[in-house]
Amino acid sequence: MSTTSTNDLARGLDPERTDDTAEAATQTKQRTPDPKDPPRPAPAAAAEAGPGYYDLPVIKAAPWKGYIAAYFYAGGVAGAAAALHGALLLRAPDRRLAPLATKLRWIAIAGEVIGSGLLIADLGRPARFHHMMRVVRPTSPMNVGTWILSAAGATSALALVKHELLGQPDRTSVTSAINMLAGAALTTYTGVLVGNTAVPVWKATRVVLPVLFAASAGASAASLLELAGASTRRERGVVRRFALATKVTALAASFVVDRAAGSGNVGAALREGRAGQLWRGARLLKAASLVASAIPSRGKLLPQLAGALGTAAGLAMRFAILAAGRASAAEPRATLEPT
Amino acid sequence: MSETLGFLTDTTKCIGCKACEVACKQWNQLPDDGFALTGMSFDNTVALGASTWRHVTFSEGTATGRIAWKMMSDVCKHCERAGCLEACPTGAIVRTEHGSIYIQPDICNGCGYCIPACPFGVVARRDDDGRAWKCTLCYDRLQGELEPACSKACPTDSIEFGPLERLRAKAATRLDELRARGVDARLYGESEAAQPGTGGLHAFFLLDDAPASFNLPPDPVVPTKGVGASWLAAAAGAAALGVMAVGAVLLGGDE
Repeated sequence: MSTTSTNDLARGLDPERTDDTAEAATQTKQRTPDPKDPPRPAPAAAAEAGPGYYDLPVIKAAPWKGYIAAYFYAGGVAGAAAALHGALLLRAPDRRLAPLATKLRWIAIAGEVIGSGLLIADLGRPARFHHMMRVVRPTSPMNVGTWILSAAGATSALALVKHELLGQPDRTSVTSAINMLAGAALTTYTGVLVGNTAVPVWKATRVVLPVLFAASAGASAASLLELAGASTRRERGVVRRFALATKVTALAASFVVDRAAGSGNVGAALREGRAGQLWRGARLLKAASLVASAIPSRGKLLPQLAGALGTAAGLAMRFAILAAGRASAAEPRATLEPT
Repeated sequence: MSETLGFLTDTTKCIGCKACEVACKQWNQLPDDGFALTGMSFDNTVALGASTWRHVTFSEGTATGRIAWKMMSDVCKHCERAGCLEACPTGAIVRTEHGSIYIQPDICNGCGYCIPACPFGVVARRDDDGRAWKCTLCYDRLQGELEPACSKACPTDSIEFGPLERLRAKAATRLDELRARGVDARLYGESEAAQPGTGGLHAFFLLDDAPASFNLPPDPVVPTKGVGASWLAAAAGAAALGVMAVGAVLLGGDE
């Protein structure tokens, strides 16, 4: 410990005084060394404790409140309902599926209206929500999403007016095609939105999150349909198949998300704290709802149980993703030591 | 477009006087952040924020364990590829004729997306006002051909303001000078080649320690880089949902 810090030289300091042989440092040297108390390698160990700056976050978390997680759910359900409604139109008109089409139209418009309300409520300046539509900016998933939500909402409203109010027959058209495409996009763009940030856990999983969001949106819409109950046996068959496919895909995607997040400081956001509890809970609920959907049943109770479990799973999953982002942004190690 | 203007912040010259913080607050009429003492050396400002556009960091000790006291005046980096600008859904965030990044307060609707999009944690939203704020490179002063308040107030020229080309030349000279004296000095974000993730910073730094000890990320990357794969995954997810919907409708029999 005799060399002078080169950085002290840079500051023009007197090496005689800044070296640890000077002044107070000499006083500690007069102490007789105690064999039972070896000197601690204090500064080096302290540096290991945290690589950064007083363990303060390097980046800032999104200031979004629970509204945004609720929007991820509502928008996802609406988009999946629009997609399933579009799929119904591809098939020859079937009177046994007409009640399902009506339910899907109402679910879609409700989700889009409520979702828009949630998004506006989360803004710092809600009265300026329409500024989102001043520009078209492909680099901003939030801007792209505004246009997707607008297209889905407008075409869903049109379908509702045409079929429910004016009584026109269901058939494929340009607007129904736009509705189906925009609906499918509505379920999945939110995965890109959170992935297009500096938040480590979102960024690490951004190639899987859109698939998880799409499948989970389908599962959430299917769960609502299970809760509502089927009007015909044909409807029950369609809903159960849609529920099984989307729940299996969502569950599988959640494992891929875990793998992508890794076992280090980045993935810790999905394992620890409130986000970890929500994430584990969401997966347990999702698995339970999958089992409940898989058991064939003529009764009402089992589908309703599957629907309730699936709805809880969908909500918990979205709150888990939002909470994980908050935890990940607050963890400097996740930013400073990329895995 | 006029010349590209920026800052060179030289940590080897910073004495931690916080004149930059005060001058910034005063000129831009920013509210105080409270008067709590943190116990983190002389840093009671803690971080850049909606009402703190210059922040002097105080690091005690270094990775090698030598006793040292290092200060750095942190600021918005005005990146060549700015995450906040690319994420902004309203077009409120623009690049000015000086190459700086500016948030138009009359457009910002407070969506908050620029905040996690910044790899440096610069942008923040004010609770009382609902909009996002950050350093403007004193856009108003530049209109009057005055240099920004922070660099004007800096008593040691640790903060230098000027055309980016001139600052780069100056930084290279200073770096050689320090290295000749044996100082472990380095530049941070001086060019696209040095920091491809951001395309280079318009407010770059000369550091005398690892970036992390000043709370700077070692490898900042604008979020839109590589987001194409995420959009492809979105398309795949949407297609999968469509296939599942069509499959359920076509294969779904009576139950």
